[in-house]
Amino acid sequence: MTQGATTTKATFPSVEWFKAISAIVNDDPGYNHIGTCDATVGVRIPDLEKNYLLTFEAFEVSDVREVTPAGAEDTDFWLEMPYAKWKEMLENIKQNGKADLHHTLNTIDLEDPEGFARSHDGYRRDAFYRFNQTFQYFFDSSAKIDTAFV
Amino acid sequence: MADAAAPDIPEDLAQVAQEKSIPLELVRRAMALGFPVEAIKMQMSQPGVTAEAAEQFIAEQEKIRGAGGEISVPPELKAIADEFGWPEELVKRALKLGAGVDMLMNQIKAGIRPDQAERFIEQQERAQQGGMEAALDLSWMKVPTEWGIRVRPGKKGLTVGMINVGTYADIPDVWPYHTEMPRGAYPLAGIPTMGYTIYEKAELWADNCADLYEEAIQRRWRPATDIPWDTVEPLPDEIEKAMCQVCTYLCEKGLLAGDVVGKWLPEMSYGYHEVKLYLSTAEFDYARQFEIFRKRALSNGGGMGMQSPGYFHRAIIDARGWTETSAVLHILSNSFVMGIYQLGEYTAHNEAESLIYRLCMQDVARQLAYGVQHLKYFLSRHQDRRAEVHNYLNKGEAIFVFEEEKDTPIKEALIILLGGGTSGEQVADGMSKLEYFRTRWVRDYLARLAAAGLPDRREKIHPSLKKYVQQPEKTEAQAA
Amino acid sequence: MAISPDLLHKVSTEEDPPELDLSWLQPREAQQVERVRAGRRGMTFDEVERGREVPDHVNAFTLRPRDARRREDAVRTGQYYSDKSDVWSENARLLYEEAVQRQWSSATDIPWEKVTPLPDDLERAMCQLCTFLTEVEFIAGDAPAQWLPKIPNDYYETKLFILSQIMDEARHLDVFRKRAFVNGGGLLSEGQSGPSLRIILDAKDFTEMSAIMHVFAEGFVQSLFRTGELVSFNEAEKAIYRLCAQDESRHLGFGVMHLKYILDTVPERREEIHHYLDQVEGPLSLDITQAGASGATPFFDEAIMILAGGGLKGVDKGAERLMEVRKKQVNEYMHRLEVAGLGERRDRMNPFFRSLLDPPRN
Repeated sequence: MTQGATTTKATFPSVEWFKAISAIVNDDPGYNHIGTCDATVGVRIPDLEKNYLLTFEAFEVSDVREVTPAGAEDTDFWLEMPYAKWKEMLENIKQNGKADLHHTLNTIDLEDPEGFARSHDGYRRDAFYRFNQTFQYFFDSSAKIDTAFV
Repeated sequence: MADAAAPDIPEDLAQVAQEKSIPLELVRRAMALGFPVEAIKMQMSQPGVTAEAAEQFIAEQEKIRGAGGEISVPPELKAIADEFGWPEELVKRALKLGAGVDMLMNQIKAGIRPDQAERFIEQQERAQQGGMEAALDLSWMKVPTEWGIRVRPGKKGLTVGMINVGTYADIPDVWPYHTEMPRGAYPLAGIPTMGYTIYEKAELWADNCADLYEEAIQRRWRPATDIPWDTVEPLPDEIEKAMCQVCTYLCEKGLLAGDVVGKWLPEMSYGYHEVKLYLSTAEFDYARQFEIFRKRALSNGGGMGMQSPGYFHRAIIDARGWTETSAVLHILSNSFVMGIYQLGEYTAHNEAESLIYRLCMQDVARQLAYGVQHLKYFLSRHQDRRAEVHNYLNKGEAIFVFEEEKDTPIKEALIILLGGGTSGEQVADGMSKLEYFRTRWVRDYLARLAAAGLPDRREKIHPSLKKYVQQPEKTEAQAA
Repeated sequence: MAISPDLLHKVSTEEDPPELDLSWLQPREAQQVERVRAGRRGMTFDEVERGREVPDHVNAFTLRPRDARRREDAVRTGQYYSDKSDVWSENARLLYEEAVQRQWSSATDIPWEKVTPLPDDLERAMCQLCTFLTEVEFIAGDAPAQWLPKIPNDYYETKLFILSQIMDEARHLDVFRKRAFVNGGGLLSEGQSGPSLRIILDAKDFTEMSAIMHVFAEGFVQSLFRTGELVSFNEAEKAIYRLCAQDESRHLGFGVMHLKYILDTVPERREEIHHYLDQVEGPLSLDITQAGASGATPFFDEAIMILAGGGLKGVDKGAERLMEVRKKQVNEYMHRLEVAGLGERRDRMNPFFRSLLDPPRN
């Protein structure tokens, strides 16, 4: 991915931040080229008590909303890590234009004994792998905006 | 043209004659011979028809047909017909239809049998009497299938799942037809069996297979051009060799799975086409699995490594039923393959390898998804066969563990990749990490089986794998 | 980010890890290859296999991929062909790469919105044709699939090509089923092609299967797809036929070149191959030469005649078009056999077919 002109500013974590990324990928032929993705994905940042629900549908991210912890877990899987690690990942993406080899979703997942991607259902959790490139592309696209951190 | 108005030649016939530059006199002579207007028109419309050819044909027909319309067979044709056992009456009927003498002689000499010819002649006679329309059967137009289906594409285009509407959405528990008849079509009697052996829905179905089929197509990728091959740089020799050993292992796994699913596809009856469709995409994924890892092995100075002992291959090949095959291949074996992909991405040395493993993860995740949903469906219909499934897994896990012990190259390759080299410290680090990853693989494997309806597998898992099973944390009450 | 050292320490089971064997990566044992850079078409097999030999004969009893080191203790996994000629086609590598590059989606690559209502007779004829095609197409997936476990991994190119063909045939099954459901129609009657298609499944040899399926049957279907494109009523149908014909060309290409390879390298199999073609030309010949109820698949014939004639009223014209198609099918079939080196088939072809042959080209 090449880094284009930065036009959007948003604070992580917030609904606006996720919507800004959604707007970018929904208009990106590169994202479309990866293929359809149908999954509900929770985002949890426990130490900030922030929880979000992202809905990936066909070729777009169709919905973003803030939810309760239970709402974030009532998904195919949720991505959970402390705020500092979220920040490290996003800063790395910004710095490199995309995640470097040590900050991909899978790598982060493997390094956490509890997993970065978690689920109450062993089948639904596999959506993390089935659509992995879509999710990676989604977070890599945050390089295209100016992220402020709380 | 004044002649066009002649009362005995219909206007449209005259027009065709004019377009083909065939004199109207010839057309009149053809009509006088008794040929129907439509037949003349059709003949004249044939490509390459000229006035000369038409004249020759009419003259020949005038010679054959007497004044009263009776047909005489030219001697040279009769001789050939006698030689090949064609009754004179049949030859006359062919001539009456307008067959050319030379053409007829050629066909007789070519070996067409009289009984074969007679069926054709009968049809042509019917056609000549009432036009081709009258000769048609058209019973297929009136069969009692559901009509009036109009499905519109949705967000994901027109998908296989969307066209399962009305009676076409009825997927029976047992498919009663032994032919290739598509589900929802009207069956014909007398069609021979195609020799399928799987006719029960529970033996192959998964509720997600239509979606997985479309997903596989949408998320396809191209190893030759979608990977940034230029990011692959020379690696230390032992790392490159370790990488190539893993590639060799995955190449072999890919072709094994291709063979196994290929063997089972022709066993699956047509009523469950969604399953056949999805498994076809899986076949293509296996080809890509082989392709990508052979290309990686041969592109950076390493080369192919050592083959597997093959014990675990046999556990998959030897399965005698599809559900057994799927449980061992899709869930047990692929949970391990998924683990290798995760580890491969984790230890990737460049963008190319990182992307290769991520894309492969997606492909194998679909296979896992089919396997889990199939087993879930099977168990929901056959609660009485739970113990049988556990036995398949007992056998599969035992051979898997045995193979792991014997396959030194793949084990050591993973240790080298995880540790970053072959020094004592690196090996120790690699071994610790491999142990750590095994706990994850076993955790994910058991989670998938639990989702499929076998939560009790964690108690039954092979002893050698049991040490990797994480025990649920005790509640405060239990601890007390 | 990294895995916690404490955690790694916890899972470590060995105080002193044993020495690794590592014999498999000793320079003497392990293979060394030149580094390869991607070419104009990317990292293709032609690039990575350049200069590498494909053996004419192998003793394959395991799933060992070509060039991998043999393990003497590997267990046998099956019985495989041992001669390259049995399965090889010089274009398999190219065709597989082409298949990967030229995949398409019946869900999103067909402009389904362009399908507009047709008169009832035409819609019914189209749906009967679609019923027929969705019925017969996957025989070309099932039939080659059953040969995969017989092909040694040393000749992986053929395996990959067959795997890509299975994918193609799935899409064909699917796209014609979809067409039947988008325009107010549905499926109609089962076809009558079973007896002729059984011959493909009954094949007892890869070359037999390939000759009768790739060269004969898929050749005829290819001509049909091209005609389908000609008689299509809208852009969606045209796209379907064009894309299917493209896929079918690869399958045909494999078959013709496999036949050529075996005739070049094992000429004594020539008569045997003629016999397979005698078998397959037999039942289908009635279909090919006779338009309408006397054919082997009259429902199919009738549907084509109606479509080609623009409706029931035009079936006379449609019958002519059908005969043109059949003439084309037979002549193209003969031409492919000539390319493969089986030109003498002209003189022993089924008489019905022979009656449709154009004079030989000089």
